[in-house]
Amino acid sequence: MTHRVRPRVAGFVCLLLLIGMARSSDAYLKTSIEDDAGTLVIGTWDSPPTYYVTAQGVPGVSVAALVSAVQGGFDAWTSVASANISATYGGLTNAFPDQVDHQNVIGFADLSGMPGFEDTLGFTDYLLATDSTSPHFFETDIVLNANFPWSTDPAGVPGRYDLQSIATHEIGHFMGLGHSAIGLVQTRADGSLDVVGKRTVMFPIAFTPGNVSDRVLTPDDVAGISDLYPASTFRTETGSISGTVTENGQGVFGAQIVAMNTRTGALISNFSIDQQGSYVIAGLSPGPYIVRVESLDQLDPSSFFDPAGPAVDTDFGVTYFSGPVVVPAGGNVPNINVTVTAQ
Amino acid sequence: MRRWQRSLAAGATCVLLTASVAAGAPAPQPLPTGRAARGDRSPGRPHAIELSAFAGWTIGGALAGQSALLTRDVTGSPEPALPLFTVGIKQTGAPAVGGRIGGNLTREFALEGAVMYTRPELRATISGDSAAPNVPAFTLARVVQWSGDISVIAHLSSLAFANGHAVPFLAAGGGYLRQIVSGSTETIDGQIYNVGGGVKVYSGPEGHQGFRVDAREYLRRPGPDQDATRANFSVAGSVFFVF
Ligand SMILES: [Zn+2]
Repeated sequence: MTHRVRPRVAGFVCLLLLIGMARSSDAYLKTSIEDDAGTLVIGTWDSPPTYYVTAQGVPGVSVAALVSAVQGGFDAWTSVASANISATYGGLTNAFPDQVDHQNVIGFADLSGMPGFEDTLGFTDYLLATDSTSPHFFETDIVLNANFPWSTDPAGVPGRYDLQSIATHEIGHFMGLGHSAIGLVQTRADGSLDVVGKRTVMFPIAFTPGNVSDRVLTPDDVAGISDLYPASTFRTETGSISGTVTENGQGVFGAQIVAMNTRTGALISNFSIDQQGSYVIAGLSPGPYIVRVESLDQLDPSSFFDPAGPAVDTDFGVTYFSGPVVVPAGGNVPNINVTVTAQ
Repeated sequence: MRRWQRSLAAGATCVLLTASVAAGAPAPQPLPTGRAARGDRSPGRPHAIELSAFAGWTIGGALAGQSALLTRDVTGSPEPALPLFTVGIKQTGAPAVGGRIGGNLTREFALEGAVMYTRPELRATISGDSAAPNVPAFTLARVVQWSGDISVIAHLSSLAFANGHAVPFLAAGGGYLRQIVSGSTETIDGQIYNVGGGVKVYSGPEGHQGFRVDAREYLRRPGPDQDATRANFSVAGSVFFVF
């Protein structure tokens, strides 16, 4: 296996329901769409979802191992202390994972006949009900590409992708998270991207086969799920920063902002998500932070933002906010404004 | 592994108030030395109490830095994390004020408690970011720092000079430090230990007041969260009164 694989979000359409790409409105990229009125609608579960697993294994992964890996992935997200979300395993199913059947189905499928999905390890489809006062997920399916070699060995198997790691990433989408960009990549001769290092399960490019690191959530992932489903103390025990990213007086859309806690080293990020360059990063433990702004020039912006939306600005250099940023518990530090310059 | 964080020390002098050996004071008499006599009122007598107020300067130093670490894409043997960038943190020097109360155990040894207050800044320096090689240093945070400690003072009477009115001393002790990061409820606590010394200059006919200079090096023991240094110090000049 020489090529790199990019899990991604895809969608399908239903007349009464809407699908969307990952957009951000508050903190962390989230699954969202614009409704008919142009209002950004965030997708979340309004009640604990029940998921089913297809009764079909692949070489190296039995059905029981598939169920265990998926449950392990759900456990990673539902065990976050600062988040209030649970999910229930409903049992095995023979339903195809990528069809509208009012069941949340997770399983393998042969994607070899689907153009554009050859390099995709897995993807997540979701239906978002917007016909109520409380938009919510209606159905979400996760498809894992049966054409890749898989393993569920906790120690990892060289040459085989760790199923639980990939499932954990896709279940992050299942819960409503978009991608995060805390990582470094390098471009190979064939134009594909290699991960050099990353610090979020929700990075759009997987680790190499045999790597099991994405079984464990990072502070960025924890902040994201907690922001979507905040436990009672989340808003009071953590704080946030907000501001704008501008270039030549104009707001920058799609800039990545990373906040690092200088005491713990925890990294939590978000993006500037409107034409004013506004951003918010929530879920920050109190204390001093370093704030670093970077463009998505190394990554595919369509992995983060709807290509039909505003153009992502990737033509500026890394810039730090050069002033005190001390996050209080339960409060926001405003005006952490960063001016970037074109490269 | 437990490590000691070394913070600094240095010397400085301090300009201080009145009640000193300064100008125009009548030439003091040599201070009594040797065993305490019945009815002894000398400042060096056992059980004498010394009160002092001091002002000085805390001298900054490097604190524990932090790196933004990425998990490398490796399989098999683990490799060190990949730093995206590293921040170095330096605590700046700042004025400090405080007070002490001590009691002589013997003529040679005293036990002394002290509290000190200062408001230094934390300065950040970014390094190791290949995409931003020249980031100017900037203020990361301002902190309010309180410390309290108890020290043993050893008077070196045999090295006294100025007709016995200037008495060098050594000091060593331990205590507690709390830093409060301005704008946050974050507090940073830790045990501190000090070692240093100085000179007491007694004035007046009976030497019941005077002036002293202290220079102390403070060490901070990292807490259980491995938060390192964040303590530093100091030099101060004091006026004192002996009862
Ligand atoms: Zn993804």
